[in-house]
Amino acid sequence: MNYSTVSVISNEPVVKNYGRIKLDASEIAATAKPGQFIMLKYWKGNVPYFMRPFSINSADRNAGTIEVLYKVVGVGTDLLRDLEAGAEVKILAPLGNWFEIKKHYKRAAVVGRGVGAAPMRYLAEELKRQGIDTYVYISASSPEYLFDQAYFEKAGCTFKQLTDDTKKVTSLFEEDLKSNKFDVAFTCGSNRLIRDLGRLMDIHDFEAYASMEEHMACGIGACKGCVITVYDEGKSEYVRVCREGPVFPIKRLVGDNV
Amino acid sequence: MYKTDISVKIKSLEMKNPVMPASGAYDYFEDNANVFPMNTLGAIMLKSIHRRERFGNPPPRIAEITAGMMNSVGIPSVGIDKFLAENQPEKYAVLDVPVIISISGNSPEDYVEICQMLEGNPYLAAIEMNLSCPNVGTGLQLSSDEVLLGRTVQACRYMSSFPLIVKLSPNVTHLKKMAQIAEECGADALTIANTYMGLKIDIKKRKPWLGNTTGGVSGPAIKPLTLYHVFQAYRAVTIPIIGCGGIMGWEDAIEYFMAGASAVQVGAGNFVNPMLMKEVIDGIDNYLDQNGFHSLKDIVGIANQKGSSAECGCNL
Repeated sequence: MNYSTVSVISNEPVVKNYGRIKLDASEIAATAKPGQFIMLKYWKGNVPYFMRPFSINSADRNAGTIEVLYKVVGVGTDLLRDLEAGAEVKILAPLGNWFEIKKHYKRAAVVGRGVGAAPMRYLAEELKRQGIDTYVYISASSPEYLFDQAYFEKAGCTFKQLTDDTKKVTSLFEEDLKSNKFDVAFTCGSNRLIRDLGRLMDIHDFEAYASMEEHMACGIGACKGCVITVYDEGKSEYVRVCREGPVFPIKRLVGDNV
Repeated sequence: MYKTDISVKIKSLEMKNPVMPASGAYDYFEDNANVFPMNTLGAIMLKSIHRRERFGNPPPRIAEITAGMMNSVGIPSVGIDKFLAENQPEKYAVLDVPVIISISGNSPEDYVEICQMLEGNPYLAAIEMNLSCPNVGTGLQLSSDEVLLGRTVQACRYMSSFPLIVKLSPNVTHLKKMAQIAEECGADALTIANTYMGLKIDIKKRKPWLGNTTGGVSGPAIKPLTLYHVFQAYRAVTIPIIGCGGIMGWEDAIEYFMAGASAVQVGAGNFVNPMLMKEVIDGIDNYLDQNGFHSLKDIVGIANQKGSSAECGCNL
């Protein structure tokens, strides 16, 4: 874990209310794994108060950079949008566990929706780098919110998208499951996707993991604020998203959370 | 090591500097950020260990407010039996820093039982009695009731030979009175104070934001309130005061010392800046050195001289 000050290389709008910021952070780029997150503070003083958690959209070890894809939803991301190249940012990273890529995986599914799929680009790129046949299924309310399509395709993933909200993106995956054996599926950001994958994993026998979100103060487990309920053999317990997560096996999540 | 004498002594508890975490804000083994060595601190303060196992409150447990935060974490704890069965105090010995255990319970008897179980433990340096968590049990805070406070402190004093630090609630009409009762009943020091009861409402969901409805307010927003309590209590007691509330930099710690605190705790600030406690320690030493003070004790209560500003009708 690294706590340091890094500088903004670029911060570009993607579409209305969405942006992508690139940070000069070589130590973090060198160690961060797909699914881990970062905490950022990029304003002076005590308002807002908490650092802000973001997923890692990509990490380029050669260039020493990381990218964050964000949606402007409140005061924190509103300030993020205003950052210009050269601005200094406090960063605590990389944090949390990650999407583990096991040696026996031959084919993987990556499922996400809109900006919630932000950490899936880094995951898909890493899966491909490790020679895993990677299918990416992304839904959005309209085509301009399919943010990382070009990156998924450049990485060599099989990319399938859906911009019709009357249908489910998991139905595209379900169709492929009929003729292909998948070893694992990854998702994040949507309880509906977690529920659907939970149903499919029982039928088609694959591992499934989801990255979870909860309000965070510290990002390092100290405040014990960001708990969710997980289930193990019928027993439930609270675990910290920042420390025991953010990635959990979906079989531990099916219950109150989703 | 330091340019000035910033050590603090509370009975047998000897700290090389006056800075420690507030209970529950920076537990070593579980989670510190490893951004500085733990033996940088004057003491390590454990998250409150409850008499019995507690899972804590339902989420959401934290909320951001203007210049601060609220929490309704509710002391998740393995309970004292398991804590001791797992030899957890021993694990801190490698750190070479005094370890203060914060204890919590639902009744005076709970506290006495824990003191009894801890008696003679060689890995602990002091006990902080958390009599003021707003997030457990029925919401009753033992330190808000004069009789319960006195009874609990007195019984623990009888049971324990550790330095006893009593953490008071600010949710009272006269904290000064509670401070006096704690001292009379045998406290060796006071932590002033815990969080302030508060409420935040989610107007989209039309219900309280926190899973436990109410929560404790902390952070820089409450610093003037707690500083006032420290200022008042300093005039009422002779035992050391540990100031705790809204410290975001060394300047805040200096204010607490000038009001009458002998040491400080950092809570919510750790969540925002994991380097904060080290920055506060260095800042205190530098401030004393640059202002011609040889010892931290030279500024304790310096802005709180009895008779100098008491005739103001402000009930001091």
